[in-house]
Amino acid sequence: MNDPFEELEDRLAGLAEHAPQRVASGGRASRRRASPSPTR
Amino acid sequence: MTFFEAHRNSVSEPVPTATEMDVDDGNALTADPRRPRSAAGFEALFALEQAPMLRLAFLLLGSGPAAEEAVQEAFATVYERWNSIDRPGAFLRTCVVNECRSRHRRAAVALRKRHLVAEADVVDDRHAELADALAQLPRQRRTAVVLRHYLQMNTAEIAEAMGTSEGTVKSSLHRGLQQLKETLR
Repeated sequence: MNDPFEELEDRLAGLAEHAPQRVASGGRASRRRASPSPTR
Repeated sequence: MTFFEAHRNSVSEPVPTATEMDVDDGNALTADPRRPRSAAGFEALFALEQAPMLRLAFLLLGSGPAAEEAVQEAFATVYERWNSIDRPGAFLRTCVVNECRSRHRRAAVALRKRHLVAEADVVDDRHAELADALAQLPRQRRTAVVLRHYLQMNTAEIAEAMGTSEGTVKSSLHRGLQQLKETLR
């Protein structure tokens, strides 16, 4: 690779295409109970 | 099935019922924080950000299943706090970064980071090379590099998302890019 920085954004975008497109239903989050009205 | 439908019976906090699509809520980054947000607004955020957040989490974790889990947890947190957060889009991004950090800590106990790459099922050689190089970066450097060079966030935004200072972000970026350069040489 001649200049890693020059291509980095394109390569990151290309690698990101291997990510799942959707979250599967029914993981731990769907079973989690909400905490009472937290604020930020 | 939408996120709201999937989680309707699992969350105890009542969520307002939408009578119409709220355009401002659809653009969660510009929604008026003073107004209660609708469930439809959350669904709009979910529809808009699900895939981008999965891609971000995948770059941070190197694993599809782990990315799914992190993003699902992040959306669950946003859902719980939907009526109290000021900027849902930014809060969601921070939640994803935090979830990925938690998973990194857990993974570090049981696995070498390199093993996470094997889970990614990256078949393209150039993508695998980058995935391997990212996996060798310490978590903070990896996060800073991905947020800067994948999401094009500035240092102030990265510092907010990572819960650290801009100075630390700049240092992490510099060292992370140097390390990547050496690895990808």
